Amino acid sequence: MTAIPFAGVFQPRVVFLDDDQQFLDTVEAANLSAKTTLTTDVKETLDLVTAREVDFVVSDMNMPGQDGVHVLQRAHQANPSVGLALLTGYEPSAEQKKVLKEIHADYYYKGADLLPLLEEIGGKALTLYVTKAEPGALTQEVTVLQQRLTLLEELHSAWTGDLVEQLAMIPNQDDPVIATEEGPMSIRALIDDIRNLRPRGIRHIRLWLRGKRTVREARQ
Amino acid sequence: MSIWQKIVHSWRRRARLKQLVVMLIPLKDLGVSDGVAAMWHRIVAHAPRQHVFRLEQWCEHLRGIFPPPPQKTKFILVLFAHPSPHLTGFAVNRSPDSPRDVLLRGWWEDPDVAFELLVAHVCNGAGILTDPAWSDIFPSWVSYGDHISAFYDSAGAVERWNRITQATVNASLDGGSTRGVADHIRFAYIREMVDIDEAGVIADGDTLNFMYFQGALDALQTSGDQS
Repeated sequence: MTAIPFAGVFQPRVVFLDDDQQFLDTVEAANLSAKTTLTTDVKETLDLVTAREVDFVVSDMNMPGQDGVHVLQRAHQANPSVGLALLTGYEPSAEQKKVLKEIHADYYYKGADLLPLLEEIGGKALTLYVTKAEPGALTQEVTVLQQRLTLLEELHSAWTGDLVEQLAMIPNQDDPVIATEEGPMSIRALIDDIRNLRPRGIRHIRLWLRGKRTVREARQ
Repeated sequence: MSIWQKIVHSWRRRARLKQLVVMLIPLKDLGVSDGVAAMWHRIVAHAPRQHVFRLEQWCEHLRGIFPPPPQKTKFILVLFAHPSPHLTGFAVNRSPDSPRDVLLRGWWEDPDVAFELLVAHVCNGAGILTDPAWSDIFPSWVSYGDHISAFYDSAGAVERWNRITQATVNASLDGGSTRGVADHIRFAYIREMVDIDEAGVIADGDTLNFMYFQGALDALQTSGDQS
């Protein structure tokens, strides 16, 4: 699964509260790069909210002996700045909608495809997190991101430089000599794809790197 | 390997060689991208000529190119071909009198022919063969779960792919199980990759084939992987 609405460094803390373990397993499998807590326990959720250890709460509506709207209402009372969302298989009543509006909570239908739904919730959680974060903390995170980016650029330049240099030494650059899924491809086109990190170029860089690993392992 | 093991191996190999059928199905539409056409002279050299069949255009049935055996026989088929666009079968050139361009499952059905093993050097061959409808025709197979790209435009590159095709034919005889066959083929790719890493000839396009050998390694699948 590839639903990754959260950036690598900016990681909001999100609680998913649901009595349906299968749903929680699905959220876990979606591998969100957020600090997720998956729980069936209302008290645990509210304790986290009270302790300011969560940025966003996503609750199921109908749980045994619990009304999700009421849980979100209590979470809002405990910490008005926490982000809230309700997941439901049913249309909330007019009264429930009124409460949700008051506490600035959105509601989503569970029947929909889960990954886009998680992406949307994740996007909201991330926005809220970035909005709330201390400027100093954000600067620090941006610095870490920039350092990672620089490192990636250096690695990319080193690897692809070597690769492109080798490919450029093959004669007949313009002839469509490579048999690929998309039909014949010229080496010049491939070099261009690698330099500009287009999907086909990235695919080749990955094969190149994996090939190096295969050879290394074969020698061991 | 002791002398007795060598004798037994040689005897088994000779028995399996009698079962071997190598089939080549080139595709004109692919032009210079057609690896089967690019390699076919080399492929033919790896098997006894009477065991090699080249299907140039669509025909009604397997018997159109393959003489029926006198009694029900189990064959080892090594197939060099291309998939049909929707993975319903193996692509073939149209004949002047038929618009059909796919060898569907029924094409292979013959009361006197059984395929003990299929080694399909076919892009996305696994996508065809994993369809349960094919399992009674080809119960045991080794193929690829993705496209296999290749570079053939230099003498050195052709030699490398030549060794891979030779290893593919040999693997069908020496591998034993589907897993064993896949391991023999894997070994052939890795041997080429190590060779390229040590002394690749850049002008021969070894860099490209290094990547494509890795792609083939990644894509290699067997019927055993599906169970």
